[in-house]
Amino acid sequence: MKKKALVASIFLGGVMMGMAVLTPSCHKSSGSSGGHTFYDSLGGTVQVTDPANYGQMVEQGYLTIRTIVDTALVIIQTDTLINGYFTFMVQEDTLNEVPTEYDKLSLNITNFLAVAAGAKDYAYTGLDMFAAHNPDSDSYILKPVDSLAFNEFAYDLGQSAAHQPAPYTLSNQLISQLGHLLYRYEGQVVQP
Amino acid sequence: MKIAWTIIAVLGLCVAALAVHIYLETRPRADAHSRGMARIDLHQRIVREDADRITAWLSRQKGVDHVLVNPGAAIAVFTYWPAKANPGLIIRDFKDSLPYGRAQRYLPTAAEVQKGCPMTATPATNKIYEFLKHLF
Repeated sequence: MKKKALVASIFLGGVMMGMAVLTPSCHKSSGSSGGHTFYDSLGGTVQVTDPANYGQMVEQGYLTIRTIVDTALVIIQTDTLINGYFTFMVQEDTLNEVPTEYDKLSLNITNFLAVAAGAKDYAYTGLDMFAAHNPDSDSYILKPVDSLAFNEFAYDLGQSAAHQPAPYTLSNQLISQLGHLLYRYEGQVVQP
Repeated sequence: MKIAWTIIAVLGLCVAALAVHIYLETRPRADAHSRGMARIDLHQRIVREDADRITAWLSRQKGVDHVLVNPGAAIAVFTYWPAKANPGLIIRDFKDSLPYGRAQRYLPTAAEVQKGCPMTATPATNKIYEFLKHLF
């Protein structure tokens, strides 16, 4: 009887270990369909301390994107090929004027990219890319964005992604994926 | 009739007090994570050593977060926490402390701002959604 119980225990233990080995390690995925998204590759829904908001948590994927966007906006402001589109970011001459234009643009682009990458816990509530860049439907844009400006924007975002220190460092493959993500919207942003 | 007017007046006062309270509690305030951006156009030729010196100087200023200098364009940009830093004072000190006499803070004209990136444009319905989300 004792021997039977021992064999059964070993068998049961083996089955459980086998299941543990065969079951892929999982953390909550941002993709509701279960597929691995670009957002997952950037850190996904893993909760980490938000370095910019004391005492708050943020998803690693979102934080990675926000860090890239924030640096990219600084790069863009020094880039004479496209900083003409972004002069409003440096218009604040009044103290304590918040949220600043930089805050708003950072939030909008980060939310847009996060959702496009596969985030489910964030929402982009701005205009869609076609409407946002169409002078007929958006008074903010006086003339259509050309390919040169779009390419430069993508280049500056890539530069930002390529020069992030740890823990936000991206592999060349992820930077390339970020580029692919951006160019999915080229046709909507660049309008004749 | 007098009682009815009194009730209406009291209710009106309550609504007004509630509106003031909501405004005071939800108005934008400078907080720890809000950041602004400022730009200095140097209006003179600079080299890498100048860029490094400018970067180091700006980075030492209280409330400055991120600094980037493009020597090719002779432009310095920095982000700052509005609750801690006054960009106007920083740029004034910059001109007093470093030998870049032609440096000027770049502030766009209204026409230049109009040509801005449309990513900050938000439909009115979404603004209401954002406001309600902020409240609750």
